[in-house]
Amino acid sequence: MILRVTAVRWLGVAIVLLALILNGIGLYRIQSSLDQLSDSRRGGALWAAMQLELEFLRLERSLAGFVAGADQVTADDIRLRFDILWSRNSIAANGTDGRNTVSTAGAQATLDELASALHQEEDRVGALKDGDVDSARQILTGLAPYGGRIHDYLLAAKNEQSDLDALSRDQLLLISRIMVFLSFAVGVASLIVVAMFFIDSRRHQQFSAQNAALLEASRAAYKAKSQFLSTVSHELRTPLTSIKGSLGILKSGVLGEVAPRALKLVNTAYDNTERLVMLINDILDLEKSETGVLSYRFAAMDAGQLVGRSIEACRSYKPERKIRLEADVETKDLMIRGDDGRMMQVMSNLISNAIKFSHPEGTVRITARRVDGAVELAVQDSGVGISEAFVPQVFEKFTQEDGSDTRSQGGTGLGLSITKRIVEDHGGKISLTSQLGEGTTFFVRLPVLEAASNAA
Amino acid sequence: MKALLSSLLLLAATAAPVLADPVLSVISPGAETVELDWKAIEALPQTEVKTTNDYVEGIHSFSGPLLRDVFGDAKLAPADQIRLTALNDYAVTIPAADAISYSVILATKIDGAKMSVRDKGPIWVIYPMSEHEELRAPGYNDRLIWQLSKVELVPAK
Repeated sequence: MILRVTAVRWLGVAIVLLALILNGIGLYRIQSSLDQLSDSRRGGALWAAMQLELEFLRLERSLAGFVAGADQVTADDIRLRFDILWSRNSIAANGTDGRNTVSTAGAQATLDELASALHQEEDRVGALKDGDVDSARQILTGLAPYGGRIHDYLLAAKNEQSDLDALSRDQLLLISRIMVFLSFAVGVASLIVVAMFFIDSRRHQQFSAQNAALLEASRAAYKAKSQFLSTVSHELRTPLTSIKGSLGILKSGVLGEVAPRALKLVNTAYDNTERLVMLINDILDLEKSETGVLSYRFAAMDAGQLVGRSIEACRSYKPERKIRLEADVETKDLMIRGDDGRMMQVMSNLISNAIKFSHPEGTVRITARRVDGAVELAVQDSGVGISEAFVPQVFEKFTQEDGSDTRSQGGTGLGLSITKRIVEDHGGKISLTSQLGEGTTFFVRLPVLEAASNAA
Repeated sequence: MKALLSSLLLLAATAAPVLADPVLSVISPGAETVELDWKAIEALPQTEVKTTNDYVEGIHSFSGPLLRDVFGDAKLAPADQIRLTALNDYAVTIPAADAISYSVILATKIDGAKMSVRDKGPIWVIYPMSEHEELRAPGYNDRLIWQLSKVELVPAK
């Protein structure tokens, strides 16, 4: 689908480009054709020939009138008409830009011979006096043979003009065809562009509708999951509390001595019940942290002490793994502002994780020190490490690197998510470094509680 | 033929000696036709225009009075038109705006020499085409009327 749309788009772009290029070429051709047309408009071979014949007839008529003794026709009039005919002959011969307006050889000869006839009569016309009928008759006789030839010249000019007109018509026809073609090309290109835009907008509409539906569905699913978790956890906790209480009483021996073999079973049941309670608490905490209602009671506290206490709390965790817990605590200036219970939760979580993922009989090292105006708590294990690809997901909910059913370690995968949330609510940051096969170190950095505010 | 003959007769009539050798008839609205002879034309302020056009090779120096000056007291308005008529009765009408905006001259001399009837004389209307590119458009060449014999101011209606 996407591939096809892309192909159509490129096709559209190609057609639009082609149309534009054709347009450019077409317009260039039209421009040069129009230039030729406007050139041929001037020249005016037919016009020059008509003027030539007209002036020839006018001179003849004036001479005829003069010979007939008409009073209105003077010798000056004859000279004027003679001069005008002269000028028309040279205009026909030279045309525009010195080109003969009619190109046939016969036409050229007509003009040349008329020119020499005019030269021959020039003196006689110049010397003509009013009433000198004989001279006028001689002039008339001298020019008479050219009447027919000038008419032939006019016909040649007419043919020439017809050819030019036909050429112009052809060019105009070609131009209009090119224009029609170009308009069509531009029209097609525009249609394609419009279609492309239309398809695009349809696809965008579809996508956004799908996205909105997906978002709505995922919100609903998420909400359902949250409510389910919350409900189940609460419902689980109540019977668990009573089981744990009963086992506790049994274990303490208040109800009478328990046989050693049975006591071992009771202890196991009790431990596992406690673990279950912790898990359920995790789930409820997560639920709260997501809806933003984790509650804190902040007070000044010593991070060094916190380390000590959290190590003590974790000592009984998985004793069969025989993990050694080491503490390295700077004694001074480790005051922070925190919720003691929540910070214990953070450290217990990190330390129990470290125990869980260390190799048996390994060492977990917990340090507390001042770094750049912050208190840094570090928990270093000697376990399998976390692969680089998984590091970004460590603090996500419900994740463990080994997500298979047969993974080696239990847990909800909620602990680190909650831990991160608590640290951040304390204005701190949590991070980690890890090397596969060597171990992982988690760092918690919290702002130092300065002495002045401590005293206050 | 009849029209031809009558125009010929008309020409003959106007050529009758009203003044000594009239060269140019000037017709303004509401005034009598004024016949200008060489003396009168040369008495007008002369303007030189160096230009080429479709009918000559290269740049030539044309001189003569400005077209707008030959109407005397008559005022030209841009909307008016001027009808130019040649000895052979060829005529063309141009907008008066041409005469107002440009130094359109009635050239009597080319390169200092008078022009004969045989060579586009005695008067050739010349536009300063080399000076103004817009005047080189094809249409303007039709306005370069030669053998000019009559100018008539036709006021806008």
